[in-house]
Amino acid sequence: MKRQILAIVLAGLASASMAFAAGGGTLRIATDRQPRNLNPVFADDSASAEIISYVFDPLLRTNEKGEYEPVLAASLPDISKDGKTITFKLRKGIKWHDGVELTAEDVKFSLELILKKETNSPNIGYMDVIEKIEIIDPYTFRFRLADVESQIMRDFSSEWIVPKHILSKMTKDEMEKGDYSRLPIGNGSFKIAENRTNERIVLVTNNSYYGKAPKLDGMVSLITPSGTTALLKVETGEADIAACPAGDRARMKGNPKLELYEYPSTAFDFLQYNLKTPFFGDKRVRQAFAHAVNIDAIIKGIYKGGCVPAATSFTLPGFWFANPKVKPYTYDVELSRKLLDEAGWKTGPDGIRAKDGKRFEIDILTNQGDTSREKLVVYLQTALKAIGVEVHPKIVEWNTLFDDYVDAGKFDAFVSGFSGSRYPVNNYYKTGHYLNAGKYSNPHLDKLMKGIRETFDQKKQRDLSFEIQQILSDEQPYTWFVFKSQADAVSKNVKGAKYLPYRGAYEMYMWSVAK
Amino acid sequence: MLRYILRRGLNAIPLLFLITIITYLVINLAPGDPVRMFINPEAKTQIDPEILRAQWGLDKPFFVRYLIWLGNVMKGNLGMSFFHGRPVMEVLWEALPNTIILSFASLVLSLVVAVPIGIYSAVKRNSVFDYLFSTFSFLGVSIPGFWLGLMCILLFALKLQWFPTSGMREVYDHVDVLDRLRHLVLPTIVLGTGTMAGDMRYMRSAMLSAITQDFVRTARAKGASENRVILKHALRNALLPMATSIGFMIPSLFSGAAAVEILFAWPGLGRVLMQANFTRDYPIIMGELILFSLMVIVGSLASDVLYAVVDPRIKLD
Repeated sequence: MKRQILAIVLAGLASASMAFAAGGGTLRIATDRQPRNLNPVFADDSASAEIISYVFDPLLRTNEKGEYEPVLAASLPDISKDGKTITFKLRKGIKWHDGVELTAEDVKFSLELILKKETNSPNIGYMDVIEKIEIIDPYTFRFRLADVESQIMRDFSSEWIVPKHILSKMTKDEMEKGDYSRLPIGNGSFKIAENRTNERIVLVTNNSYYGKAPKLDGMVSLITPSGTTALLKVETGEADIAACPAGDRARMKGNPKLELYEYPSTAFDFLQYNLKTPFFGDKRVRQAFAHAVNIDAIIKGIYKGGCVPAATSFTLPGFWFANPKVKPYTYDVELSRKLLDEAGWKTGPDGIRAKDGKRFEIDILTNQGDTSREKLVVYLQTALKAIGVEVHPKIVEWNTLFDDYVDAGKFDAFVSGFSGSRYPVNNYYKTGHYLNAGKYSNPHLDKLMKGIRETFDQKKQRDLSFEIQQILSDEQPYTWFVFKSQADAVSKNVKGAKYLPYRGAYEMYMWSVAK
Repeated sequence: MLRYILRRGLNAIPLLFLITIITYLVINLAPGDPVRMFINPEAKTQIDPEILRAQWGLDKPFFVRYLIWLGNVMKGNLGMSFFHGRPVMEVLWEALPNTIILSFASLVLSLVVAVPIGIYSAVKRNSVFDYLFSTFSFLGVSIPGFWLGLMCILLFALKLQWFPTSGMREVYDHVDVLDRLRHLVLPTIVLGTGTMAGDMRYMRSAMLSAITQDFVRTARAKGASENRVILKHALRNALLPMATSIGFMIPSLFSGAAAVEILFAWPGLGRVLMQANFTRDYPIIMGELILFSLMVIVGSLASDVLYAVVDPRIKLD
């Protein structure tokens, strides 16, 4: 019964806003992902994150260089000299979708909810360093930190502020599993009107949005699990936008009814070494491998263009803390051979190197289902043969790869992928971190990374980041290949489409769809 | 008859237990931790997997978990889906009618095509027609449904624009029959073609074995027209095995629909199950397995009872 009432209220809101609609039409997105939980306190999968980014706004946001910009905040926060007090001023007049104004009380409520142990929120981030939040006035609040933690700025750039006047009346189960997790009331440029599992999600533009005057009427996310079908929907005109996999891009470019928007993404592919094996403990071996890989050939042949070579994954290319002196390794087979000779791996009579009676014969694994990675391991077999290493490519189902090989430490090397960070902090190189499967350990590096977190001074952070990238490049705990590109196929009926590198579709409420 | 049905019903109970134990064992042995599915390596901070494990009861030993689950099922509670965060019963109940519509439509299509062709193939055995349709049968059984579906979409939806590419409906606030039918056509063709081929062969061989019976020769000798001999006497006997095999066709249609449902974005049980398999959503997997097992058991019982009802020679005991 409660659900029906909620649905009717939302439908009412939706139709009311449709009545005042900007006339920009409805954008239909064919997506393959079913969002799991739309309550920002609990959500942690990418499909939910996408919808949440339409319905909720964060305090801050990073631009395409990684620099902070205020969103819900009126300006960048004031940080005390000792780095332990952060003061924010909220914009005035921001309204939740039900018309109630957003104030510092909502921020306090949300933070305390997330920090509670029983909530078990995946979005605590570094915010557990906050000791206290003080409300100075309805639009001003102050965080007091137990320690200096500069990367808490990252958490201020994600959406976690929820309406106190609604959630304070709910139990944890109601918040996490009830209607609010499917039809949340937010503060962003879009409101949720409908959420049908495995079918569609209907969003309606928030006409009282504090940002620019919206042009679009609404968006519909059509859940189409097959990526191929999703793309076909754009071709037939049943949808206006869908993600375009690399293999279909050439075909889409030739279609006069569509526009292909290609942009670099944060996703990268790399080779992880197990430093505990007799092969990869010596950094010269890892460097030799890096020099034996022809990145340009890989980009052309395997990824079919559109990728950016990755020097390290510590930063996204072009960001404010990217070290311009740290470049990807050159393709230099002779140098590879020299490095391996220096490391004591001498070429045997069969062309394969050996050291202390052990042949350089390894398995390189990757997960099934990612064509680029599967091709990559086969490429590596040939590329590494040229320097006297015998490689057995092994393609394994995702779960098996991690359960039986990686987490158990029973691997030589494997090709995998992650997302690069928009912020100068990364856990994959930290000593003992569970994502550091190869067991790389450099205490000096750990110290540098900690140093970044201990200062808000951007210049200091930059200097430390530069040194970190130099060390990572030199030590090659991983060999990074590329930052992959993503592309959306967009119908030519869509006007005003904006795409940013490393972010994708931007300010969609300003787009419009011609009839 | 009633006693027979009751007895079969009682026999089904230990069978169901066995099925659930084996299934539970198999999915738990498969590598892959459902909690890991929730640990997003790209997330800022990791949720405490231990709390989640405790919440889902995964910290208890296998057999204890099974018994807890069984106890709940007996009370009619299929548990909460890890992935959806909603009761399993709710998720399945939403998807069930959609799969029923698709399966039923496919079944009807399949039979409407397979029965006449099967009859004709049997009567005109070894003719060109027969060979043609035998070939079609083999093709139908061999062609992967996913590929056939994709070809259908490319031709009928993209090129000819006769039908929508996917989805179950475009009108949501009321049931628009025309809209639903338009969306039903392509998935039904794909799913039906898969079973059509097999049904054709089955009908053909059932018919063949009926035609070669003595009573057919007798009917001919008594002067009945060929049409009457085939369509009245032989067919009736040939339909027997067909009618009873429907009992098994239904559960296989339900599970075979998975690939079709994914391609056509049809929000049915098959799709829910695939999702659950990949995310190790144990409650949903177990819930659907119970559903399918029940359907097979009921289907096979229905087949046997139907057989006895239709054929006076059969005595169930």
